[in-house]
Amino acid sequence: MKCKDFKEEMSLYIDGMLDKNKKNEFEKHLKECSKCRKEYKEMMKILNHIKKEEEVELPKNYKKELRSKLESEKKTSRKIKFKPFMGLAAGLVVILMSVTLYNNYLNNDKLMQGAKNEEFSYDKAAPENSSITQNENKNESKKRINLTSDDNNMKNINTDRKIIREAYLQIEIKSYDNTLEKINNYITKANGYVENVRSGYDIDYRTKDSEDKLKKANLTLRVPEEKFDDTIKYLDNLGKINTKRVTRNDISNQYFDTKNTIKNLKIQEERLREILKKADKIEDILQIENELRRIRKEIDRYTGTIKNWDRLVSMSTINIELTEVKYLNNEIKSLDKGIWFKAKEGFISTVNLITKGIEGIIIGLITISPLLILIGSLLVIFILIRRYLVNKS
Amino acid sequence: MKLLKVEYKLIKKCKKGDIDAFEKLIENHEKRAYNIALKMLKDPNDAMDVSQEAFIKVFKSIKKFNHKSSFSTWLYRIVVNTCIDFIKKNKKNYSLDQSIQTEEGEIKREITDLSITDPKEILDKKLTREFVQSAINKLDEIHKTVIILRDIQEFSYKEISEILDCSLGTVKSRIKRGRDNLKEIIIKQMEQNNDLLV
Ligand SMILES: [Zn+2]
Repeated sequence: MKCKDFKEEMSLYIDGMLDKNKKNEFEKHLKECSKCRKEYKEMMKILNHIKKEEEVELPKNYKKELRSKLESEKKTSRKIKFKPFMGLAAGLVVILMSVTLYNNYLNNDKLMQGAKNEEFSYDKAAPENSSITQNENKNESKKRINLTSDDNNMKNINTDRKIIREAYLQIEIKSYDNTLEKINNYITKANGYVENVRSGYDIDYRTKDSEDKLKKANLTLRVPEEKFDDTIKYLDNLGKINTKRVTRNDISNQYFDTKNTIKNLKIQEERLREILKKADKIEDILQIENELRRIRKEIDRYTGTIKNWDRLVSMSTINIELTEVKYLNNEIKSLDKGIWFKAKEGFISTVNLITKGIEGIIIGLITISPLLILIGSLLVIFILIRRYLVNKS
Repeated sequence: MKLLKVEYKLIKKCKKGDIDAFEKLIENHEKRAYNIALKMLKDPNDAMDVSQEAFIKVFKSIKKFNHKSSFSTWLYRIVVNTCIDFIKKNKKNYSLDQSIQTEEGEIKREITDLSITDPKEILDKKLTREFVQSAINKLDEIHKTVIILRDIQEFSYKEISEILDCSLGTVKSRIKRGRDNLKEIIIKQMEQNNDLLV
């Protein structure tokens, strides 16, 4: 063995990492070469000094401090963990709220219209208005045809649609009491009920001078959705229809969004409950319980909305304004429609259907676009946070 | 084997965020980790902060521990890496010239008592613990680390290769070079001190 090899393998020899042959060679050179022996002795001296070093005891507060650091670390990591989730939930809540608000706004608009109409017929049920209402009547009946075909179509496409159907009818009748009884009987048979009755004497100037006091009533009926069309037909024949408005409000999007939100909130609630089980710091427990209370409240609120919608979907609403008149003037119905007229009607209804379909798709896309953008951006944020956390650790 | 089973169970608990289990798991490593940090960083406050930071890293990333290496070498790897990161971040404070250190003051005092001219004889007779310590501090990070792990903490070559995440061959050559460099620094220091005396 040369001196160069000796230097090379000294470290391994010291640590007992040489195999038997090399160890023998090394020891042989160690005996023979005084220069290398000196080198070896010097090295051993240095290393022995290092090995003599005693371990330093841990500082007194070491464990205590580490414990508190670990606890705060656990807390922050837990916070980070459900932050993206909270963001997502918050985003959904915002979307949902805006959708419901918008919907409420639309409904209010409708109610306002209804109210206006009511006022209108109350105050100015004058003869000169009859032409207008007759016109309206025609339009309405046309619209009704469209609507029913539309309805059937929708049912074929998607049975899961949530549709609130409402009708508003202004009917002139000859015998108030008789009609009211008829309506009552019919509704009971149809498994519906009269929700609200408001009746009184008409203060129409036509009847002011006459001795006969004519009655007027506002009724709100609720009928099972499947009996809606039949009920309208039945009511049509009670007297002269002055105004008729049938609306179908498709709330499927809002409805299923709300259901999803409830589902997500429930998942969140469950997670928090699990975290609560493991939490041992009072501060943490209080914070989690607050969060749980907030989530519970939200779940209850949305569940209430869903229940209300369920009620409105399963039981259609029919508002009727009954006006008792002395002479019923029913002859305006054009029973004799020519073949051309029918064909035209069919053509229009088909065109309407197509435009309605396209309209629906466009509205649908525009409606969900903010949701898509929001979900997309939340996803990006979530991924960034995750990447950041992964990089950090 | 029984010990490993206990360790395995504790790690399982730690993965669920159990701090008590974690404390038990690191109980036998805290002192060693602190000493490694102290040797690498010199300052006791830094050693405490950095070793604790390392333990927090261990706690945070224990979910990713896959039992491929032993838990202890995985833990010391994190300790060593955290120390090296700290040194790199505070490089200015860890320059080679640490003249204000009290330990060196002591060395100078001791050396002034000597009146021997041959540096090799100085090495023979008056090599002090403090002198060796200050020489270790003058090693670069890689060699300082291997010397601490091998000659102070007495980890095996295999363990060091796991801690430093490198091959056994690399460990062998690093230990050899580390020791050679250490000796060189010590002899140089001796000569310098001798020159000061002359
Ligand atoms: Zn030799």
